[in-house]
Amino acid sequence: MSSDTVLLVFLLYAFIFQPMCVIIEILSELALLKDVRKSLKSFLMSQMAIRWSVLVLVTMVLVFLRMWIMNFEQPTFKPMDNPIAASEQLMTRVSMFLLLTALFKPPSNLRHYIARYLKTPNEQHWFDGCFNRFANKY
Amino acid sequence: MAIVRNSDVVSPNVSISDIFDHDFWGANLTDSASHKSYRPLVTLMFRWEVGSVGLVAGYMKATNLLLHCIASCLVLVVLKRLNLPALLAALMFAVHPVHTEAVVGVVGRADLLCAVFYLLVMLVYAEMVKNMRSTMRMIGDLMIVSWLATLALLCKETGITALVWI
Repeated sequence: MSSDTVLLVFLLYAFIFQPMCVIIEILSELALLKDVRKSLKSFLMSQMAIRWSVLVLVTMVLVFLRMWIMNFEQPTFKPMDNPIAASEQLMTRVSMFLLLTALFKPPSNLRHYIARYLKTPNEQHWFDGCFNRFANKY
Repeated sequence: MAIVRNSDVVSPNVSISDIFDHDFWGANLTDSASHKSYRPLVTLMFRWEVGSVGLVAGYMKATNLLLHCIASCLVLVVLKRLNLPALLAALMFAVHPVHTEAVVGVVGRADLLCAVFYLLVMLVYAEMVKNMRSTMRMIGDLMIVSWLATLALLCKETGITALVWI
């Protein structure tokens, strides 16, 4: 993976995913207790709050330093660096990430399975139908 | 490329402080042709190795294997601490073919060092969460965690997730 993809993914994680988890956990914590103000105060005083805020802060500082050391520039890659990523065909680029999927041939009766899946009512799992079919055959 | 033709590793006249300005391939980080892979600790380790035993592929690969052993043991310890099936998981980690590229290639050192520091972060953090201690003690542990995560980041870019994972 190229450096900028890595950076992008981790920026997303650090600034969107992680605060989201923290907020969700705080909210679920608050929902359990009736006195919101009191529980919020006790949460803010807790060790967990210190831990999370330190972690978020350190992550942000590290990401900043890492970007500062490369002058906030993106690297420019030549086709030679990663020939597959430079390929013009979409299929080549996609199958690089889906290597295992690309190696396996889908079953020839795949559309039957898809049709069965679409027809199956919600309360019944589509897999049950497949098994019955198997059992009737043998 | 990153070792044999990297002047940071091979030639002794490049100063140590220069390594911290250069990328993994020995080019200047601010250079437009640079790939911006900043792994100075790995370069430093290669340099130390080349300086002490010379440019011998066998020794470098042996070091990789040793690091993988350390990482596998750390997996065992960390998972044991988290009350998970540790021995099986550590054995699978040790023999899993997905690690071939990191262990066999000498440049895979970046991944191995990063993994070791990452697992140390997990270990210290799990220890910290499990034992309720005084706040001052916890802040001390958090400083250790932050330093270990910084070291992991200096070995490979993926190391930044050490803090995010928690």
